[in-house]
Amino acid sequence: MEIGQTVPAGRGGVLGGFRNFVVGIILIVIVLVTSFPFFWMVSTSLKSLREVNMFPPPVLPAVPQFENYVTAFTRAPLFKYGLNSTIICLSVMALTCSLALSAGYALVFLEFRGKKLIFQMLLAPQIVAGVAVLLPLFVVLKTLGLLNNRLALILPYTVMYSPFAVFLLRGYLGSVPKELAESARVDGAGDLKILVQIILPLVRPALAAIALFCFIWSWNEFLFSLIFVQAPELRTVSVGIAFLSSLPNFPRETNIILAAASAVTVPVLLLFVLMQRQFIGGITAGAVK
Amino acid sequence: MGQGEFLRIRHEQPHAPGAVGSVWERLRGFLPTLSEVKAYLFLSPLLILFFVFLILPVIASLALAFMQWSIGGVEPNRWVGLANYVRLADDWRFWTALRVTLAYTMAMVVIPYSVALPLALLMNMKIRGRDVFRTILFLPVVTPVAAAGLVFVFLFNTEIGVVNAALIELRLVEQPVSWLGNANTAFFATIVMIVWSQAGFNAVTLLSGLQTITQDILESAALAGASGWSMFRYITLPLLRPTSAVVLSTSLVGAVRMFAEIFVMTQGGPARATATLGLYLHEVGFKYWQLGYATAISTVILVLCQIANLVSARAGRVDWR
Repeated sequence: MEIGQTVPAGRGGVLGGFRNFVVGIILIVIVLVTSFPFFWMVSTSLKSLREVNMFPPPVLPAVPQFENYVTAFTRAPLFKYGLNSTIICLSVMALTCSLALSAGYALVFLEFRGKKLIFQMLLAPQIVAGVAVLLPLFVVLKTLGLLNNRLALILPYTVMYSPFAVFLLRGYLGSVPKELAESARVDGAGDLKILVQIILPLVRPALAAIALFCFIWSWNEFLFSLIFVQAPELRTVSVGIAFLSSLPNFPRETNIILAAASAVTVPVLLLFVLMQRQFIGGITAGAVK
Repeated sequence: MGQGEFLRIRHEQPHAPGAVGSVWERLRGFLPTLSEVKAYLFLSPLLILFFVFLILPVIASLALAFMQWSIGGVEPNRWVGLANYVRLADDWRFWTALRVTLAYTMAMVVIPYSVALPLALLMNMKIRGRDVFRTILFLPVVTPVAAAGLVFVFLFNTEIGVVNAALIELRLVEQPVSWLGNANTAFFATIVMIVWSQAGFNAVTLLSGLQTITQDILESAALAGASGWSMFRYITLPLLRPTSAVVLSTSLVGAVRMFAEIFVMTQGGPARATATLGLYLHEVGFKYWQLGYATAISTVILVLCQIANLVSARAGRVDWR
């Protein structure tokens, strides 16, 4: 058996079994190293103040201090941050899915001039994102009076995630047989009806994947939510956590801070684990030609 | 049938091949057909958002970079031509940031890929539980940057961080290392965090790429005499090139734009050791509110991103042998 070859069934043998074992061990070690920060985050969040400041630090708290989480939630308005983030994430999900579907339908099922150009334009922006566009986007948002409004995040996020959404949908839509749309059209159905009643059900997996990315990436996003929304009551969860560390008690009160961080991270990790197949499938579909 | 066809049939006359229709028909051809209007209606919401929040800012940045502009500043906003760029050329902080960005770029192109490829190969081999490994390796990718940053800052804490505890316990060092206090170690610590958060994505993507290399290909290659290293080098690696290109280009462009991970860990310190262009831009723009100058910096970042994109597109086509 060579590198790069998947283990064929039934060709194990003694040496094969040993190789599997070694590979398994290596992977387990890597996995342990990768998950160590998560473990440490949760473990520290349950430690007492004394244990946090001990050196060398204990691996596990003697008695898990669940009240740290209560303290975290009273110390910072985490519920409000969570609500803000949720509203933004759900809006981005809904907006991106519908706009990408609408645009994807036009790109795949309708004929029009400039299709290639539009398509290239919609897929290009991977480059123009993040810090590079931060300032001018800030100016545009300010001019539109959208700063300190959740829209200041919802709309740019939608724009950021749409190229990938359109790319994904285009693949899915391409595999929908055109005869389906044509026969519906012959029956007198308008485009909107075709889109909603015939096509939409067929692309549900793609939409699910898109909705998932939008939610997770919007929840985790840091830069724009730091700059575009300065009002404390509109802050997202991501920025709220970061602000906690600017308190004078960091790192001494790291247990409380990491309790807040865990409270914010674990939900999205769970969401990912539940839907990981759709998520990873979607991402790699975009990357692997 | 569309409008255009209808018109043509109505006005049909025998034409010599290559002869042109009437002026009226050609004019008519420029107007959108019903189908096209419909298509653009479907596209318009997205296109409008795109224009306002992406295209407009990019165009605006080209203009803003030539202005002196601040919010709440004493001086009025005015056009200054190339003054911002001249100032950039003389600005040691800018050049430091550029150097730091290049350092991160080199690290982030090489390290995540080098770590992810063996991981992907390993995962490709072992079948049982592969999904579990894949999921866990991907967790850092879906973790909020801020939370990850906090954890790593704490891990690398000088007095009570677990990294130092482990090092001292294993007797690898005698004194606690001031990870975030020294230039080199801070760079290293941020790299560790970035690799941690990105290697999973690379590995999972490469794994999918590997899985497109089917058993038949490998068996026919084995029949042709390839084995072990030569199999890897001449079959697997070239077939993996498109996926590798995607992974590397994402890392490359991401490195040039790097901001959040470094910001939450070091804010660019100590003494600008980890201050990339992104961080410098943030400092100039949002700490000192010199938006014109900061926009000039962002145009530099844009150009670098574009170069990075072109380089990886070109490299994706080059024959690696």
